[in-house]
Amino acid sequence: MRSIWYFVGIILTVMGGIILLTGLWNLLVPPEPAADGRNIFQHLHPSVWWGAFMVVCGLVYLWFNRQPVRS
Amino acid sequence: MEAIGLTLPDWLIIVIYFAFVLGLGFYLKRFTRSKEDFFLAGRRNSSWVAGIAFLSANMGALELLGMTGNSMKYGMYVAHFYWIGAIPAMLFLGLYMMPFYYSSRISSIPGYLKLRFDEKTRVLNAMAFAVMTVLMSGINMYAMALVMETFLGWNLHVSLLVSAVTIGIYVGLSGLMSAIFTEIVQFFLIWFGLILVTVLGLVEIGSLSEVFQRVPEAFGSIWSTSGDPSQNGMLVSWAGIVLGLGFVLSFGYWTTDFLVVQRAFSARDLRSARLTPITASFFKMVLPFIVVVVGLIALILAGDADSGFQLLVKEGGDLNYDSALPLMIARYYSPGLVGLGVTALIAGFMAGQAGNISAFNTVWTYDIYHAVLRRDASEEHLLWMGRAATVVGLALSIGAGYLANTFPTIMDYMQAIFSWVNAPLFATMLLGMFVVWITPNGAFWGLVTGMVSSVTMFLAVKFDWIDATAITLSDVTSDMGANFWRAWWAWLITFALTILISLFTRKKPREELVGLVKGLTDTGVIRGVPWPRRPEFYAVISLVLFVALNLIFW
Repeated sequence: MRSIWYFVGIILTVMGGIILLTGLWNLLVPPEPAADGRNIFQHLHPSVWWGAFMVVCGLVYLWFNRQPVRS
Repeated sequence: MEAIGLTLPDWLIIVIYFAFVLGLGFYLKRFTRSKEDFFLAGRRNSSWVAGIAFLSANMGALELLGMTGNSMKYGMYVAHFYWIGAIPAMLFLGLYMMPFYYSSRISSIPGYLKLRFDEKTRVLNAMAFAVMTVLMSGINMYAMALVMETFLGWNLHVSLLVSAVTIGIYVGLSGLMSAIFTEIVQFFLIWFGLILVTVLGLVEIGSLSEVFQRVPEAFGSIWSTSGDPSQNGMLVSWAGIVLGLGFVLSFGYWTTDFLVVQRAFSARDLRSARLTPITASFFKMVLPFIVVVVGLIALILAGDADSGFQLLVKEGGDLNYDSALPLMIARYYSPGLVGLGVTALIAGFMAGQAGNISAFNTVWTYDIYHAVLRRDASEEHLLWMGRAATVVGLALSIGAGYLANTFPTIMDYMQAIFSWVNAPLFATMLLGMFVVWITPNGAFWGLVTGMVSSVTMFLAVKFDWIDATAITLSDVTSDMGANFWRAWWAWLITFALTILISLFTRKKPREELVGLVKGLTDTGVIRGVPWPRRPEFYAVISLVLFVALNLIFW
């Protein structure tokens, strides 16, 4: 059986990857500035660095828990 | 009201979350072969897994939203729910109560009451707990649907059905194992999804010290204004906080509520079981830095006309303080991150619902169905009943949710429910575990009286038979303060009557109490084990941090 940490790694990697790719896309093709006080830190590109952070954490969990555990 | 707009990446993240938890349920089904697998996750979890699940089962999004909103009204006083309202009880559970629970190999809290006292005490608690979990699950379910409707524009009934069906599938397939796995995933999603709000909020304000400089002085302290209830926004004295919240409600919940304690039962051995709540205590202590700090930042922004930040307004004109956290997510998060933030809230709600349903199906199957209705049921039949109880429990939850949410103040009813059930039960458990001569009749009638007295006090205030200040013994009070004090009185009544009745009723033979009472139970302390391997070592560290935090924010 795969350990729970393996699944934590999967979800962090997948979601982090989507967020990172979205951030990179918005870096290359900047969207219209959001209205009504939303996304006020668009210029800091939090999607890029937070998405990357999640991917790194996810890959670390996947690497250290890649072997199945005895069920 | 304007909803938070979701883009394609946000929807992708939300859909992936639902698919993931369903996939986990199907994956784990092949490892769920016995009733011990289904109801206790096979009793093979490490203290890390059990500890994070222990906290995650408690960490509902209703609480995250509500406490963030409450922080705007009460400031750092909300941290009491995470510090004195949790840490001492969690450490006490790990150090002193877990040996009795784990060593007796019970499957539920009512199961302990059966062994220590008798069947009628078990059934009384099982029925009260079953009703409580269905009600709590329903409140969480409906509140999630309401939040999704309010902030995202989703159809309320569809949201309710989608969450109920999802939970029904993964808990129904793999029971507690699935609930724990998804709670751990949800824990990480909540942290990764919400801690960034705090980080970006501090970037906008400048620093944490800047936050405390800009809020009213009383909002930055947690004890210095508790000498006089009129000096703090919660209108509660230090006695109410310590006795009502810190002792009765806190200990009553963390040491006897099967929803969280069940996670510790899934640990692989006694040492891991004792470490479960101790491990969770470290994460619990950090939560105010997500919940309370965000609330204080929202307060600053709401008071700054140039910020453009405004809370939503309910029908009737009152400010919707629960809107603070979702609006902060919309303020700081870009596409993709918004989906993560929304998923964190959904995950928080569903962790609470799944936890209540898994606790319900265990208590129903073991403590009501097997104990009273079908004593000769086979293991296979009990496993089937656990799955059936999951479906029925969810259906009842949906109904309870629609009903309970016709009441005006849901959070108050949640706290009231805890004071009816958990506060008296804590007195019964405390006496049962530490006083060998407490009798079955003393425990049963003490518990009945405590529960009835708590409900009576609640109704007496609600229908104006008495003023709430008669319960709080002060000139001013709030609903929250009344909850604290009512819990204290219910506990005291249960405690006193249990002792009194025990003095005049028949005791159980000592040989029947081995493993159940202090003095007749292995405490789990092993001689010759190095200090860093002992649960006591980590409990001391946690206690030191708890005291330090209280002093820092005095």
